[in-house]
Amino acid sequence: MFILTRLSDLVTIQPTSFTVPTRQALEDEINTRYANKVIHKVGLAICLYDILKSSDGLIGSGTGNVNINVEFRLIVFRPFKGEVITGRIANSTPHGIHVRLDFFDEIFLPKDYLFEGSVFDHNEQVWVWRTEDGDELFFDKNEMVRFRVEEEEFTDNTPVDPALRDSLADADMKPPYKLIGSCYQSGLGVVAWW
Amino acid sequence: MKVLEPCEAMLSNYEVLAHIQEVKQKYRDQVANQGPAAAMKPGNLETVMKEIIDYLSTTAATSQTPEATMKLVEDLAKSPLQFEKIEVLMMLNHLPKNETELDVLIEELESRLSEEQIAEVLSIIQSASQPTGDCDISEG
Repeated sequence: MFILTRLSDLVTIQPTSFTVPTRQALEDEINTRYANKVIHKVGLAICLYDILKSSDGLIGSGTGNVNINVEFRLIVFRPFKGEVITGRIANSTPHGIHVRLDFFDEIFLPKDYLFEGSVFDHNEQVWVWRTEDGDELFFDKNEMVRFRVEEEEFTDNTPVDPALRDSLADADMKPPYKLIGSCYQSGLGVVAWW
Repeated sequence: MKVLEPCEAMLSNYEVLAHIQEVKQKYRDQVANQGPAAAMKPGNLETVMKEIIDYLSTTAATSQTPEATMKLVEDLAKSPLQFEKIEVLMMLNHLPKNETELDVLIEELESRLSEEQIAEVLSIIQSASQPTGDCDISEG
């Protein structure tokens, strides 16, 4: 579920932070830049893990900022395909079930990836799995659910040329990182069932 | 920004939880030593650390200890069952309690393992999830 990613970056420390020990200033700056943000094709960065190397600080002309080249590792949320994760059901629609983890909301279980015999109950707004034995099992809201990661989707949301923006208005709404999960094997589904 | 190595290592839920609790402790110490001004941490960091702790405290990671975790990994690696690294990782994160839960994590469980082997793996995991001192692992 979590991985370590090694990055290098140029970190700028402003004069207001000069009273802080350099190491701490670097850690704060890196966390400000990366914590809780999606890095394209890498995953959701959680926080700094450790600093591996840093260069001497150089003051650029014109500003009093110190620039330091740093090599460091981040903890990143990036489940592999086929990994089994537990989460909570956020809501259900006729298209499928939205699942969230406390720190990550963009998980979707499409209806085609649910158990065979699952139907959507429009009155209750929940998915119901009718088993072969005739039992009815409910995917209730806020229930803990276990699912398998099937696909991941990264969307590059870097700003586009304003002249082109109108035609891309819909695409802008896409989350930068999204997971598609499945729930059709015994053992998956609501945790309390098994 | 340059990505040097997208996936250098995989971390178990327990390791992530331990790291974040360590960072939190370090910040608390800073406040004690340097006064409340040192507590000004980036907001996005505070948010994600709280959410990660909230999430991981609903998983098996809260009850794990470094010793029990190491022992479980060694026991599973020692067994002649040839688990993949990611399978060991998932077993560590989920601590499956019965055969159905194990079946989800291990591909083609029934053709790879006999019933006795499945029971053995489950008992290894069971003994690791209850770190109450010395407990016997029944072989076979």
